[in-house]
Amino acid sequence: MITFENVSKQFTGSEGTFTAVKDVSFEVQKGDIYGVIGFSGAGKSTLIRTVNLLEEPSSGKVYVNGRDMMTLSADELRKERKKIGMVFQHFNLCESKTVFENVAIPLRLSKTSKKDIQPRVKELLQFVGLGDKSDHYPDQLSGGQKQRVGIARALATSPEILLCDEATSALDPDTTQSILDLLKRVNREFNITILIITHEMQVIRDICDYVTVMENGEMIESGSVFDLFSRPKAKTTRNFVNAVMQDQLPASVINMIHKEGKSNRLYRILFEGDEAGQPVLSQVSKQYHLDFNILHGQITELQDQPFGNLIVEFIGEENNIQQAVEHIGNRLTVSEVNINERD
Amino acid sequence: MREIDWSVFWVDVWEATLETLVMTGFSLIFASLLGIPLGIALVVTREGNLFENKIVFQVLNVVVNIVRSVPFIVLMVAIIPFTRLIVGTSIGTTAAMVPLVIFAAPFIARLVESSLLEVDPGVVEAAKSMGATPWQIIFRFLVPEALSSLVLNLTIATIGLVGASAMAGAVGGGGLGDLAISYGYQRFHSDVMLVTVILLIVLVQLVQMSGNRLSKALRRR
Ligand SMILES: Nc1ncnc2c1ncn2[C@@H]1O[C@H](COP(=O)(O)OP(=O)(O)OP(=O)(O)O)[C@@H](O)[C@H]1O
Ligand SMILES: [Mg+2]
Repeated sequence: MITFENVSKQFTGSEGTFTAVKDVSFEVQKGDIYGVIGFSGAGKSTLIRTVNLLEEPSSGKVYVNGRDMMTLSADELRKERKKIGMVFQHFNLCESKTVFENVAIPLRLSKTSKKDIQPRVKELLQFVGLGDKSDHYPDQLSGGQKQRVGIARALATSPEILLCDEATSALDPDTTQSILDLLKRVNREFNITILIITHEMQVIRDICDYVTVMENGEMIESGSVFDLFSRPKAKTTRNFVNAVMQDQLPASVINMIHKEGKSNRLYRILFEGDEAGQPVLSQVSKQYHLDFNILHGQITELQDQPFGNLIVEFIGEENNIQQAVEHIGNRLTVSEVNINERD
Repeated sequence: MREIDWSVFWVDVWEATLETLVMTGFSLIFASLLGIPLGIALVVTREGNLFENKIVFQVLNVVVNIVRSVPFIVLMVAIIPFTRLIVGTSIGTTAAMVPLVIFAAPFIARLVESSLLEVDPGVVEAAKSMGATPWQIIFRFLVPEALSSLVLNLTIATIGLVGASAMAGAVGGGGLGDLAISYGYQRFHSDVMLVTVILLIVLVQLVQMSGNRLSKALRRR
């Protein structure tokens, strides 16, 4: 649906040339929600803007639906842009127009007849949950409501693709959640492919299928959200994962362990998919006569599959612990945690 | 020094006020017809804008600056031949309107430019992402978004024109300025001067008040 092929972007300013995006290649499949995450200045916005050519790549190619956007005439490009909705961090609504008029603009631009505009806008506002705000002006709305208008506007011309540049970054956590739910519905109900840019791992965890991590203009890691969360490789990726998964022991727990002078073995166990439903711990506890103590952990959902991360202390005979760990290792990912080493 | 015949005087004041209104009003219309497109051009030919064009921008920019740097009273005298060419005479209310328009148009262009530059670039970006043409971006996004600020700025231009039109009166252009000079200054009737000054103050107040109201009404609802 969207293919980036060795996309690079340089900006030439008074202080010389700056490379904002370096040799990025990946593909977004139809119907997926694809996330790009990175810190501020990583080049994410520059990258997403190459899709509808708000920014021209300096080299490399971007294909949308198999078409190389750079080869289009100005008129063809405008036609293609109508098939690509875009949602912005700061909403970018027309302050001088009502909610209704904001959502109607794209329809008016494509000369939709008046009698078709009315029901279409109503339907869109209903969909985003703003059916009663039609005659309000943007400055009478909350941030979340403004973003809903932005989304309704982006959907007006029934696009196949929705680009979201930090669609939730200006919103509080609760509102973020409700906008993410809305984007998920957009994806499910209209089968719209979504490319979303963010610096919040929560966004990736909650709605994305695939993710690319960017740093200093480069892709450093890429894959399914599940793989990335369960086995992050790059340090930046691990930091992002930690931000929402907290697979590190909190300081208070470490202090407690030190205080009690325990030298028992701590293990990190990852539960993925179906395995998360199995009573593995109590099984090994019975089989190998061990006690276990869950020190820390979290179970969440990734791509509609359960995913858990537990840090467990085993108490018992060394030999038995060894065997128990092996037993668990056959089915789950388990690794020993050294509390003295912190990364 | 003769006593003033007040009954005649009030008729003169009424006529002078009308002349000022006509001069200011028509000058405003013609100056806007020139200045608004000029201001839009100054914005869209800028670097990185819709119709980026260095040469056009520089030419417009310099021309506007040159005209803006000539004081009105000098401009009025300097373009007398041009004024004659256009309206056939260089005295009277109609003749005064030529320098007034030339004086106000570049001023309005600058005000329009600043209003349009205030519009959030994000709105233009959103417009582009919707596949809007450059003309649609100007007339359906930029101008409507700037409208309230445009009205406030045109109010400033109108008040500038009221002042300039009074100056035009000094060289026989008619209007309240003419009245003040011929009665008050040349014939030493300072009470006449006072009346015209008060009238000018009231006029400016009215213009500013209506401008504020209209701008506020346009900002929302
Ligand atoms: N038009 C431009 N001219 C020059 N440099 C630019 C331009 N646009 C972006 N940059 C630079 O490119 C780099 C990447 O910018 P970009 O906006 O893509 O980052 P980002 O990952 O979206 O960051 P953020 O999370 O802050 O939005 C930044 O260092 C920025 O200064
Ligand atoms: Mg950005």
